[in-house]
Amino acid sequence: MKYALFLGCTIPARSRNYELSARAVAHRLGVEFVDIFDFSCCGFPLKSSDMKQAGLLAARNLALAESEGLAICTLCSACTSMLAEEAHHLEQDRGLLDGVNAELNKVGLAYKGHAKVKHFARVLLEDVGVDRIRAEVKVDLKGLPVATHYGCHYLKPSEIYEGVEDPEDPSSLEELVNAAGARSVEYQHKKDCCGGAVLVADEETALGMAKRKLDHVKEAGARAMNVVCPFCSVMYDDNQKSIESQFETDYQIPVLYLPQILGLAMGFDRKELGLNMNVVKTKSLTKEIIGEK
Amino acid sequence: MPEFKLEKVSSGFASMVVQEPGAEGIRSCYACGTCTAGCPVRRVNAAYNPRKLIRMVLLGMQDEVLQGKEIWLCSSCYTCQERCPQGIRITETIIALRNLAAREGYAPSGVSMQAKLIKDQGRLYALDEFDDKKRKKAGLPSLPSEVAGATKLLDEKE
Amino acid sequence: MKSREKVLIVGGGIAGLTTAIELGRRGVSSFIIEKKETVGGRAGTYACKAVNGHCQKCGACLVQDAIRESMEMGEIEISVKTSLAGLDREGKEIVARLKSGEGETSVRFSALVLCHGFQPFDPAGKPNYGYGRIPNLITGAELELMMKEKGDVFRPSDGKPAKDMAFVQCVGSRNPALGRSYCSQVCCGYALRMARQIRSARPSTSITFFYMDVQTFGRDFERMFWEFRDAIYWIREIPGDFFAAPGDRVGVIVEDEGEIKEMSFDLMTLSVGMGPSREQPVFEEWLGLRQGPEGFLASPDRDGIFVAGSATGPMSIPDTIVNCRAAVTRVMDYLEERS
Repeated sequence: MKYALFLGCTIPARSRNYELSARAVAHRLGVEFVDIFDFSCCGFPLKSSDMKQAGLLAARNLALAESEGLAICTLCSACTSMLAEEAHHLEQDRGLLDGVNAELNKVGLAYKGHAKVKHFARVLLEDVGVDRIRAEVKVDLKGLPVATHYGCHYLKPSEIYEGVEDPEDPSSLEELVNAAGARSVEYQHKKDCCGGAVLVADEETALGMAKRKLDHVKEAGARAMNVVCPFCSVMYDDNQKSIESQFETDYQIPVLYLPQILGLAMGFDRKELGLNMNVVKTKSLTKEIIGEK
Repeated sequence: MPEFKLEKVSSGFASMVVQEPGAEGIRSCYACGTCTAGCPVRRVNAAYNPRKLIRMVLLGMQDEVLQGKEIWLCSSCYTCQERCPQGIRITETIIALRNLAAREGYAPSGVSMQAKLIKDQGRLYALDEFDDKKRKKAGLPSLPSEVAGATKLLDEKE
Repeated sequence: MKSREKVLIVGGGIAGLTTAIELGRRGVSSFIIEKKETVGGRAGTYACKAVNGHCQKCGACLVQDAIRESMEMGEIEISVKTSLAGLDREGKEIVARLKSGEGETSVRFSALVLCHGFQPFDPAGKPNYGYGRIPNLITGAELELMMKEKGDVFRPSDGKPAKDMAFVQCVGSRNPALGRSYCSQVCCGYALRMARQIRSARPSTSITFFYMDVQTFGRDFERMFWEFRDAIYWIREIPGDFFAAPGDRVGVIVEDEGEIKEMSFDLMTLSVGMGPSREQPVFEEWLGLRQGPEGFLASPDRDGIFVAGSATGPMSIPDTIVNCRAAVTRVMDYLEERS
């Protein structure tokens, strides 16, 4: 199980906790990550201004991985959808592939069309398997009630994900969290978007969307949230306090990345999982689970 | 929502939009409302209404669509696109409209800024020494501050 | 016309029965095979929708009439619990391998009419409806059966009557994304008739219709629609999210008159459309038949092979009767030419 790890823009700069915990968990479970230092932005934020150029960036990243003979493992859901979508389009449209290669050739690259893109959670599910994860559990999470936020790009557009999961009735992330010993809670409108992509255009709307989710999560009695994308984390973690003050609500719900939850169950400590970098304090939560470490 | 004014209509607008990749199917829209009903943005902000936007495009309301802020409110969650019974690629249509708007200089400043950063650096956030130190401290590999290969590619294209 | 001509009719629903009756009226014998225990097909499970003794022209009784008439006609032989193991053309004859409790037999026929009907759309094919996951969310076919068997409408979850109900139209119809671009023609009709009947039995029930257009197929239907229109709360939108609401109610999010609303109902019915029968691929393979533009079977009308009724496309009970009568004239032409 060897993958080219695709970090994108936000994670190396702003979400090192996700990167740390993902690398730690991957290593423990036998997933080898190779760093391709030439990877650039996946192209997602450029799509709205110029989708052709965005597609080119994505194609370049695909070509780089392909030339190393590696499949790509992504951590950010937006990167996943951008890269997988481009791979899908290039597979379907010969003319598009030729056009893209004409540009890639100018910088000495070529894309044959065989790249595979998988989100880290899929790698855990499909390559590692829930049973193996369960076997690695060393710390009892005591059925910690966790609300999973699937987000949007992890599941959609469904056609680029080969029908692996039904976006209207997802269950993969909860399976993983439950295997680690936490207890997934159902909450209202769990399929709702975090609003991250609207932040740059209209902060109030974006925060309003995140607030709705936090309300439902709190209502359901969850003690933590599970996310698999830095965009979503920014909305629920980084912005939780702003939402609390703007809308006069109170949550204090830690927002953990999936590998942080799995990592806690596997016995990693706070430092190894970057838990000090989470914005909403996680100390009291981890104290309950792993003591003062 | 803007008012429809017949004298302001741009009769070629719909035909132009339909040529953009992703927006080919919009003429099939029979306004069933499934998209708007499922839209997570609409629930919070009544100004955003995907069904209305498509109708406005088909009615030729070019200025209102391309200069308005509505098309920038889509969170690209794809819910509408997944559910549309006519198979219209609504999310991709919104992106196509944004591209048209951006070409004419109507993108919000935050969006243009991000686009410029990516074209200049190959990344949204250039990793400076400060970031690099933090990464090293956490035991993470160093990454190049900018990605020359990417910027070169985009330069060549232009 | 030689009375030795015998036509094989596959399917003992309204289409098969009508075909047999029409052939019988012209002196031609037929042999109906029906894989179930009784004849009547799906339409035979539909309840009479009369309201206060006024006929709503739903066609359910036409099926019962056809069953009776077919039993009384000497030219018609019916074999239930009988299915097909194979179909072939040999020269000018159709050879059918029939399978029943008594084993397999091979029988020869002069002509074949396939009347194997349709398959109602399974809403599990469009997951956002949440069918199967949300209690008290049923299909139009299930509602029909409930009304016929119990004479009343209950919430499956607790057996209590519904104080408020909703119908969602165009489920599995007018949906190219699902490969079903056509209008199934019967759903607005059956939903409205059922709604009318429910209202007359329990006038306090509030009924909401989520629709796109009301398709008034049939001569008298539009008049009936205008008569009944005010008794229903019409929302010209199809809901986006379907979810389980407290109290085992069905919740939806819908845009009504420009506002996003969350609504819930004791019972919700998905007015499912008609689709090609599950048997269709078998017939395509055995007889080299082709599909029509909507994915149903196109009647080849040659070599003694015909397809009639809803096996050829969505249609109501009266339309099925008309379609089969028309098919019979073509069968008769074929038999005459042949002899």
